[in-house]
Amino acid sequence: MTYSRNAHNMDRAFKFKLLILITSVLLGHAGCIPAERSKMEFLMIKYTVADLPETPQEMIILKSGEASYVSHTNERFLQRPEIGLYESVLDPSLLSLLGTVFTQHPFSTLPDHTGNMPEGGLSRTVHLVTSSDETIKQIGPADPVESPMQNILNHLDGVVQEIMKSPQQVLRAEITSPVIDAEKNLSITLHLSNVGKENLWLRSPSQLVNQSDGWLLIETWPETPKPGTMWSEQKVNIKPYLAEPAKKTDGSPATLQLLPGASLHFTLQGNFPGEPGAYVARVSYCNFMEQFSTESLIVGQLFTNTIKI
Amino acid sequence: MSYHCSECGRTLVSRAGDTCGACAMKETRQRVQAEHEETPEREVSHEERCEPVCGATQWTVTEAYCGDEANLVCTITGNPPDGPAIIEILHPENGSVIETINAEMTGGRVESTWVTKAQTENWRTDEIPFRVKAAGLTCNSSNVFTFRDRPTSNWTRKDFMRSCPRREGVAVQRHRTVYELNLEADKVKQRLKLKSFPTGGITDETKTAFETMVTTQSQATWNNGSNDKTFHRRNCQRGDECDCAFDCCKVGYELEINFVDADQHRRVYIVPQPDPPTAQISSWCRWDDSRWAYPPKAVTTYSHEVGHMLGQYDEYVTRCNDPSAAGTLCRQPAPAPAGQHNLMSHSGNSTLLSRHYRRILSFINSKSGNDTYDILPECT
Repeated sequence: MTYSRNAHNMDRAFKFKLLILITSVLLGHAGCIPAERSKMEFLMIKYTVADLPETPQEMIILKSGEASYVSHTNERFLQRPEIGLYESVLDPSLLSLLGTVFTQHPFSTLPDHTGNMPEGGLSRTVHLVTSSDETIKQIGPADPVESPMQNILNHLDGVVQEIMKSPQQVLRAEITSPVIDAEKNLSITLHLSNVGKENLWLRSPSQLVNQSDGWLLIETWPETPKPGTMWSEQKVNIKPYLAEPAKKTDGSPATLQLLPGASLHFTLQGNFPGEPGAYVARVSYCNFMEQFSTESLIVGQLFTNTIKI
Repeated sequence: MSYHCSECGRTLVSRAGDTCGACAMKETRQRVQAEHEETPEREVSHEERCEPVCGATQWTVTEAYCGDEANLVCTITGNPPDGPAIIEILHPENGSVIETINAEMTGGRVESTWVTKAQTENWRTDEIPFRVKAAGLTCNSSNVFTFRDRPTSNWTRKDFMRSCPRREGVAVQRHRTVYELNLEADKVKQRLKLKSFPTGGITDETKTAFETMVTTQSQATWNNGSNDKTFHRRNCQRGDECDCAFDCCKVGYELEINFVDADQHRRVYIVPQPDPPTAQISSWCRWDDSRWAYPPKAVTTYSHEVGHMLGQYDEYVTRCNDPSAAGTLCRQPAPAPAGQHNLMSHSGNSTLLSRHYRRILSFINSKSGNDTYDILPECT
C-alpha cells in the first residue's frame, strides 16, 4: 500500500470492488439490474473536506464497510498531531446508521451550495453513489447549511474519527525539550514517527526551510494575550535551522524513510524575537512535493503539539 | 590620345566631346563647364582624374518602432570604384559609434538597413544620425532617424464575468471581475479599488493594519512576479533574445491597490481569526463579495485572493477551474503540473507565471495600434 490522496493508488482488491460498484450503477441506469426497493443502500460515499484546498482530505466508504481516509492536515484535529492514510472496516451498525442518515431526507433533494460556491474557504463535497443514481453535493463557507445536511456532515465527521483509529501510513510529529538561552536562541527537539503499519517516505525537514513547495516553521505566541491587540496578531513564526542530524541542507538526504514504529529526531534552533514572558510554541511541517524519484511522499501540513517555552 | 571629359574637364575619355558620366550634379557640371571653357580641350596627362564627392546621404525610413528596420542610402559621385563601405550609426547624445555595418558600394551607391535600437532613456526624442566611409570619403547623413512612440490610453474599466465550467443541470457559476487598466508610456498600470467592512471584533486599528497588509503584500507579489517577464513587440527584429535596455520595444507592469470609501470595485469583509491554536479560517471570494480573515492563514493568502479579483482561477482542482479548452494559450491548468506550483495552486507559494498576466497582454494588444506584443517567456 502506497500513500496517496486519491483512490487510484489503493490496493487492487479495493480498486476492483470500486470498479464493480461503479459498473453496477451504470448498469442500473441502463435498466439491467432491478431497481432498489424503498430502503436506500449506498454503494459508495466519498466525503471531501478542503482544509488545504490543494490537497483536500478524502474519505471513501464502500458498501462492504471498507473505508479509507487520507488526511493532509490536522489543523481541525490539533489534539492528534498526525497526517496520512487510515484504513478500516466499519462496523455494520455504523454502516446501517449511515444509510439511515442519508434516507431521513432524500439526499438528492437536499439544498446545497452548488452554483454559488466561493473561491477559497473551507468547502466540503459529499458524493453518494447508490444502485440507482449518483448525487454530488457541495457545501461552502459562505452560506448557511440546513439542518438535514448538517446532520449528514456531522455523521461523516464522526466516521472520520472512527477510521482514524486504524493508521496505515501515518506520520506523527511532536516537539519536546524547549530551551531559550540568554541570547534568546530557542532550541526545540522535533520527533517524527511512523505510527502506521506500513513504511512511509517523507520530505526531510532540512529540505523545507526557505522552499516554495513547503515550509518548516516554529510558531510562537504569548500564553495570555496582550491587551489591546488581537491574540492571533501576536503569533510569530521562526524559520529554524537544523542543528542535528543534518547541519547543512546540501549533502543531507532530500527524503527519509520511516519504518513502522520508527522515529527520527531533529534539533531545531532559531532566534526567538518575543519579549520575556510565558510563551507557547508548536512546529508547522508542510510539504507539497508528491513524488521524489519513485517514492510517494507524505503531503500536507502537519502541526505538532503545543508546548510552553 | 586621351581627351578631357567635356563636362567635368577632368576625367580622361577616348574621344573628343565625350562625357565621363560621373558628373551627375548639375551644379558640378555647370562649374566645371565654365572652367573648361576657359581652358580649351587639350591633351592631358594620364595622371589627371575626376575626384569622388559625397552625394545624397540620408535615412529613407526616418521613423519606425524600436526593433524595426530603418533603410539608409549614400551616393558618392565622381565614379568611385566599387568596393567596401563602412556605415557607422551614431549615438544621439555623444556622437560615438553605436553600431558598425559593413556594406558594399556599387556604382557609387551604398544601401543598407539598421535594426533600430534605443540608446538612451530619452529614446522618444533622440535623433540618430549615421555616416558612411567609402572611397576615402566620410559622408554624414543629412537627416536623422527618430523612434515612433507606442500609443497610450486613458483608464479603461474592465467589468466582466469569469465563468466556471458548465455542469449538466446546473446554472453556470460565475464570478465577477472588476478592475481598471491604463496603458502608460512605459507600462500597463492596473488599479484595484477595494472597500473593507470590519465584522465583529475588528477595531479601526486592525482595519488599518489589514488594509496595509493587503496592499503591501499583494502589490509586492504581483509586481515582483512581473519582473522576470516582458511584454515585447512581436515584430522586433531582435527576437525573443532582445537585449534592449529601455522600454522602447517592451512594456512593464504595475499593480496599484487602493482602499476607498466609495466607488469600489469589490467589497471585502474582514473576519477576525480565532485565537491560537484553534484552526485558522480560510479567506474566500465570490461574485461581488469577499470575506478575508485577519491575520491571513498563509503569507500568500491576500495575494491569492487579489489574484481572483484580477481574473485568475484556482489551479488546484475545484468546481471552478479555468473552463477554456485544453491547449488554449495561457490556460490555467488544474492541478498545476509539478514544477509549475504557483500562487494560485499552493499555499505559501508566491510564484507567478506568464499565464497569470494574460489579461494584461490582451489589453496591450487592444491598445497598441495593430503592433502586436507577446509575453516572454511564453506561456507554458
